[in-house]
Amino acid sequence: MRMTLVTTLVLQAILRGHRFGFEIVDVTGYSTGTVYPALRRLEHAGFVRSEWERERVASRDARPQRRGTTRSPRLARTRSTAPSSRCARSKACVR
Amino acid sequence: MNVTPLTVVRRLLRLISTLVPRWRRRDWTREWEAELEADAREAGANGSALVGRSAGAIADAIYLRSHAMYLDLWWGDFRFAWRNAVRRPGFTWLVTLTLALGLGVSSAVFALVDAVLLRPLPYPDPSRLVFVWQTLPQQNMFEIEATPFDYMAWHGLRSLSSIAMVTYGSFHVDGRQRRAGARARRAHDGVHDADARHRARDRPRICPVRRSG
Repeated sequence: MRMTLVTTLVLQAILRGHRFGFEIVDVTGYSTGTVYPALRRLEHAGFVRSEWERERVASRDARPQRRGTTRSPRLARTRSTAPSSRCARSKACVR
Repeated sequence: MNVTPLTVVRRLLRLISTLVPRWRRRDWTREWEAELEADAREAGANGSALVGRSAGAIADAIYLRSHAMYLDLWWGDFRFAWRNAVRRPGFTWLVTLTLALGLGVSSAVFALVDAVLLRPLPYPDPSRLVFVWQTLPQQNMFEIEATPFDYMAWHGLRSLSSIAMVTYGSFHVDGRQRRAGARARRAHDGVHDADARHRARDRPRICPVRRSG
C-alpha cells in the first residue's frame, strides 16, 4: 500500500486514540471525502480494523451507536517512523 | 411533514448508498447516519455543514465500489481457472508440462547465446582480437594455418600490439593420486601477456601444460 500524507495523518490520528470517522476528520483537517477512502485503504491493507462499539457505551453517552476504528495487531509489529515536517503542520501531529 | 436537515441528509445517503456493494450497503448507511446524527447532536452542526460532510459519502461509496469490483474480477478469474484446471486434469498437466518445457528450453538457449555471443571474450578489449590465417587466392587456398616461420616473420609487425601461437589438443595432467585427461591449449607467451592483463577471476585462464608422452 502506498502511504500518502493523508493516510499517514489518518493513521497517526487513530494511534492517538481518535476512533470515529468524523473525529478523525476534525483532527486531521481534511474533508470526509478524503479521510474515509484513506480509512478504507488502511483497513484493506490490514493496518487498522473497524468494529461497532458496544450498544451499552453508546446508550450511556446518549448517542447513536458508531463504528470505531482501532489499530490492528499487524500495525503493532510495524516499526513506527518519525513524523515529517509537513506532518508537523497538521493538527493531528500537534502534541 | 417536518423536514429537518438530518432527514434531507438521510435521503441523500440512501441515494448514494446505491453505489456501495449490496453486501455492505446496510452497514455503510448505518455508519454514516450514526456519524451525521452524532455530529448534529454533539457539535450542533447546521444544515449546510451536514450536507457538506455527507458529500464525502460519495467518494467513500465510489472507493468501496471500485475495490469490490477489483476483488470480484480477480477472485472470479481465479475461481474460473481453478475449476477448469480441476475439471480437466489431463489438459492441466499438458499446459504445465508445455510451460515447463518452454521455460527450460528458453533458459538453455539463452545460456548458450549468452556464453557464445553476448558475453565478451576473456581478454581486455576483445573487439580488437583477431585470428590470423594465410590465404593463397591464386591456388584457391584459404585459411591456411601459420607455420613457426610465418609467426617469426609476423612478430615484427607494428600493426599488432601482441601476437601469439596457439594449438589445441588433449593432454594428460599428472596429479598426486592419478593422471587425468584434459582438453587444453598450448600457447606462446604472447597469449599469457594478454591473459595477465585480464583481471576477471571467473573466466578461464591459460595455464602452462606439459605434454606427456
